[in-house]
Amino acid sequence: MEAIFQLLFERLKQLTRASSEKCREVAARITDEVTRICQQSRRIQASGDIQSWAKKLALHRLEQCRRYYQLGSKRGRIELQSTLSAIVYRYISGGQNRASYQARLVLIEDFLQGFYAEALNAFRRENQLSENYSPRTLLELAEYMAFSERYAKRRIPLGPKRSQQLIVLRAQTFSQQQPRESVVDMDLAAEGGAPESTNNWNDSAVQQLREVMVEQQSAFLEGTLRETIIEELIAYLEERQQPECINYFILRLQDLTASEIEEILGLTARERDYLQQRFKYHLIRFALSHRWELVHQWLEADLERNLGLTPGEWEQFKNQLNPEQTKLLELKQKKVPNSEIAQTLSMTANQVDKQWFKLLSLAWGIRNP
Amino acid sequence: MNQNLDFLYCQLLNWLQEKSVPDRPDRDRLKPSADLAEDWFVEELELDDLDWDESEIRDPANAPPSSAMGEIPTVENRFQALLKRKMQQEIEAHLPLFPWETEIRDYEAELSDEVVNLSVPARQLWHPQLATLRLLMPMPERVLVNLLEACSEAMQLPIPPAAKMVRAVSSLFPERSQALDRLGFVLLSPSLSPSRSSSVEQTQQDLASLLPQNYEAATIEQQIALSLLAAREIVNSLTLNLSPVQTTVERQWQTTAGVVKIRADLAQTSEVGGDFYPGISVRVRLRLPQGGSLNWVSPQASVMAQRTYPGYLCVELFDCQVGQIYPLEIKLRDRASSPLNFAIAVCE
Repeated sequence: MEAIFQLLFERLKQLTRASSEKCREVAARITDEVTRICQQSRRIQASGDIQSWAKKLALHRLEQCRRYYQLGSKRGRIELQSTLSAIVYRYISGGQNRASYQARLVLIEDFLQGFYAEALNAFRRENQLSENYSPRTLLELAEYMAFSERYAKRRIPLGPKRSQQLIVLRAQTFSQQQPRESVVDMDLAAEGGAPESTNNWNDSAVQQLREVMVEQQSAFLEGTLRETIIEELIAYLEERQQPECINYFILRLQDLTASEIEEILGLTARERDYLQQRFKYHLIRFALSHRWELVHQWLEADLERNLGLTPGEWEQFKNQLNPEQTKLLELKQKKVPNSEIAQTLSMTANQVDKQWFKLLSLAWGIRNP
Repeated sequence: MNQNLDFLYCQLLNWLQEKSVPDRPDRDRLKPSADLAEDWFVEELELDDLDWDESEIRDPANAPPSSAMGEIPTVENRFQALLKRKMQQEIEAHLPLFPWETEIRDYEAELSDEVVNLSVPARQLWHPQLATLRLLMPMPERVLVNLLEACSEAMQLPIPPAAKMVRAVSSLFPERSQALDRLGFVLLSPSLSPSRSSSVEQTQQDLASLLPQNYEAATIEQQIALSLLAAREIVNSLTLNLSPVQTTVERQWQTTAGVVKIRADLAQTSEVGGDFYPGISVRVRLRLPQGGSLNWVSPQASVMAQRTYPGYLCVELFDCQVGQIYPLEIKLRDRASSPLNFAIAVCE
């Protein structure tokens, strides 16, 4: 680990204008943190290559520190605040009422004020610094900002194979409108002392939380197919150079209100409506043409399942088809490749696609009259 | 698009949304009970899960368990990037404070003692001159040494003296470009230039009355102002201004080896006289306290002269243009020493 320290120390001297003393202190703190992680991580211990892990972790921390150092006090805090705000945005709401974008920002700002204090305490505690330590120089400030970001993103295990970022858990607690006074003295808790508040937190509370979270983990497999579809749809929109549609879709997935979406994308209600129409057009093309098999499989409405129609509906559907469409349906059911279908029906590949799109739309109409 | 597709659209979107939002405020919201302490995880944490943020470099084989809360990384990352961009504007207008701060302030990018130490053997040779600078108040040696370093670097650039000073000082205060521009504009204005020394004494006194007792006690803004004024002294010492009116300039620079004397002469001849060379030429003569060299570069030519023992060197540069600045590098024979850059400015 001496080598790691030397490496960090030299790099910090190269990268910053800080004094040797400060570079030494920061290098020592990063080295200690990395040592601690390497010693206690079963994964790293089992890897059999502790040195290269240590180096990786150390350089990663150094890079974070360098980035904030270069950004400086003002731009650095904008970067940190916006990074953390974006992570917690969905989890901060004004109690039972859906808050507007602006109202959420105010809440997030409040929340982060508390979080920065917590991060500072954690930083002091983990680095055995005095209770009144605070960053004085640009390098120390950068170190604190990098630490706060890492601290926020720490994953808290919530039972088997599940974890959540620390800042998200904090944001959820905050959203429950907890009075901030209930914050436990970190140092006291770390030493196993009881907090002075009347809250007696204990294992059962943790247990309770874990149960709640595990319950949410249903339909995991279905989730992976949904994930695939979301990723494919994004790729499809990218291919068609529709970045606004992607942004709109992403925000819709986050369950934001129309006004929040307008605010975030900087659109008027009318512009948002146009965008929605454009997105709708692409989504339907995607679902009934571009990746219809994938989407129908996911909706359990693939051809093996008669496109999700009941026997009665299926008959009704077939009766509405002209001879050419009937042929097309048969060929699709036999999984004949598109090129062959095109030849058989004397159409272009494009025409086959169009016909098939019509067919699927028709089936969909029968399913949902 | 026909009507029934509206329904398809809504259905699809609902399905896609369903698991993308693990815990919406209005639905299956996670409710940590009130008695969940802020610190419950500290002891609970397995270090395997500590500090592996999304950006941590890792092998897939060693990847920590994902949150598996239905957050899809693609969506999550895009959503956060989108919000982040949007929020940065608002945050900039209303900067957050950290717990120990009462106001937004800049943090000193300390002057690295490394820079000083590195420069000491390198440019130490040239330091004695710093003691002769006319400053409003004594300044720490490390600051002056760094300023000399930065000014010497800036002398190589064909930019006006004021720009050189600002550039030199900006390397000491990397975060303060705006304050620098503002202060630079005020402090380096011609009304403060030594050539108008009638008002200069008064202005200097006015400035001095506004400043603290010493450099260390000054605010960052005041330190910038003091550094700018010191940089101006240094840049002025390193610049020799010639013109058809002022055809000779002499300069001395104290070094640890003795005094370096520089004399520059401008000659201007016209074709009418049938001279060998019509136009402006500048001749530079040096008296070196030990062996050394002189290197002078212009867009048209470069000349170099060197000698092993103390004594004189002389070079002449032709095709000089009014309004041009010509960097001049002087090096003493001391192997460890860096050169010092001067500049010859041909003025109207």
